[in-house]
Amino acid sequence: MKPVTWWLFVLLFLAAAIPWPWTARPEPYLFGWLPFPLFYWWVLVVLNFIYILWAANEWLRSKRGKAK
Amino acid sequence: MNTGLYSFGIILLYLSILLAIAVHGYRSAAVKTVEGFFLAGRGVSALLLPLTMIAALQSTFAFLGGPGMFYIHGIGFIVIVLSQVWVALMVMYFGHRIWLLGNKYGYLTIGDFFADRYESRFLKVVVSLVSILMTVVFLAMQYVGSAHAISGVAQGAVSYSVALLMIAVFSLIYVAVGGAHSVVLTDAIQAVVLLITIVAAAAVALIPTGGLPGLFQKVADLNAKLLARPGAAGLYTDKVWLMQFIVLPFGIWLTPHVWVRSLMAKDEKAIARSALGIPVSQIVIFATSGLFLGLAGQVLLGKIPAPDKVVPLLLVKYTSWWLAAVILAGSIAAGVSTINSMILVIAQMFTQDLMIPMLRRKLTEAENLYLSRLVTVAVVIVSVVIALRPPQSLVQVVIDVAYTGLAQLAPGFLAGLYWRRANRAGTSAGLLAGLAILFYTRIVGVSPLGYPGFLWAFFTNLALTLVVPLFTAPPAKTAVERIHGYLAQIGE
Repeated sequence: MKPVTWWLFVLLFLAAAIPWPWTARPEPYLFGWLPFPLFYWWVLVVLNFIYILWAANEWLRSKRGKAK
Repeated sequence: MNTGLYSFGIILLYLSILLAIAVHGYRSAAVKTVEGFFLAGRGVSALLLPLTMIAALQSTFAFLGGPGMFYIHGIGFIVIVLSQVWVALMVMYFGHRIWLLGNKYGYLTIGDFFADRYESRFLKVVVSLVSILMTVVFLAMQYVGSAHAISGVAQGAVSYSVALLMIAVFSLIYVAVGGAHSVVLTDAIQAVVLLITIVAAAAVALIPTGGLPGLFQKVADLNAKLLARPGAAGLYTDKVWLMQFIVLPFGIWLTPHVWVRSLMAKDEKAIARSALGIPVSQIVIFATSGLFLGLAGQVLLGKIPAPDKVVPLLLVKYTSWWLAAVILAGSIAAGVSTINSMILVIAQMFTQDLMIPMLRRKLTEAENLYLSRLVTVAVVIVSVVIALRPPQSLVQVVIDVAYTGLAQLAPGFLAGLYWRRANRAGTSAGLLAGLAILFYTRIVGVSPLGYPGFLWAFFTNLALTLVVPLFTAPPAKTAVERIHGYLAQIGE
């Protein structure tokens, strides 16, 4: 695992694993209906997915490079 | 009109179509070897591997237990997505190593790796027994969930026992006929069916609540605790939230029917794609659809005695009988696909790790294949007997016993893959101590210093696996060179 892949993982892991205080109350409601904790977690879900996509691509590229 | 019976007919038709596909898979693959039967000849493509990974990973829990958890606890259950997404990295990094070693040395099971790396038949037996025990419990739960879904759709026209028997017969034929070839093929279809039907179920539930804004506004008025931690039942305290990220992902990855997919991969592209299947399915099933279904259950159904049934109840109440049957076929798809994979992997571990080594002679390929099919039948019978008297809470048993038990294999497995100094004494001591603590704290019901037994078990296991080798004889050079020498030689 490259250092940048590792540090991004650590960052995203901690962003989700730490029980931040703003996830312990529903307010504010964004757009009048979306509770803030869900907004925060949905953003993390999307970022995690983009990260996995990127990491898988990098990983595959390095394996192909080694094979050549 | 007896709509229950017609609904049952739709499910029966769906299972029959899958059966035809399974038989086709058998004919086209012509399974003649044990490797072909259990691992589809290590040739599953980048198209099929992610789908079979999704089908194996996502069980009836996707339709029943998951929305039930959102119903009880609210949005905090999204922790399942945030914590388990990292299983994708495990598939890529750890799974790739074991794939390389599996191709080189012909590993069929996780026990093969332990036996080879630690030169220990004892460890092979313990690892296989743990894996089999935990998977049989999980398998029985899948039968329970699928049979409940069918008898629910049939609205009393078909009893739980008849539904259970039907699922057992179908799953047995899927697996015994074509082995992994049939399972992978039917899994691919069932994964697509599962993803489409759970989105359809969420759409059905969102219409009467007034879409997303209406749903969340109604939940806020009803019980705002459902929209933040620790949730309506107070489960997701700071400590519990953090704990979800520590041990559980290892247990999910080391679930034998998930792990074994690394050995089935045709190439590295297939491994990378299978890793991507995990977040994709988690987003569709839990981060969105399951969450909407659980919250809609609160708004539309009020208090219900069995939260696991929130989805069937919503469908029966808010859509036509035939659409409910078609959508719930997705639940059956989730259950049957996981059942198939579990039956196969249990039979695999039982025959290859426990039975055959006890025989005094080497079996021919045909004898081994025949024995594997016989054990497949026995596995189905045992798990159906367990499922006939199901435990009270589906979720509790799965999370408490199966995953935390399987996570105990992680320290020895990863130390063996990455650390030359890891030895038999350390891994044996860690595994046995971990299992003893896990079962003791579960049975007695204690949480020392306020932390659950599975955490004590995991970290004691990890500490012994890492510390004991520093004070005992190093592993034999031949075993180390066989694993680490080979990996270094190919640049890993």
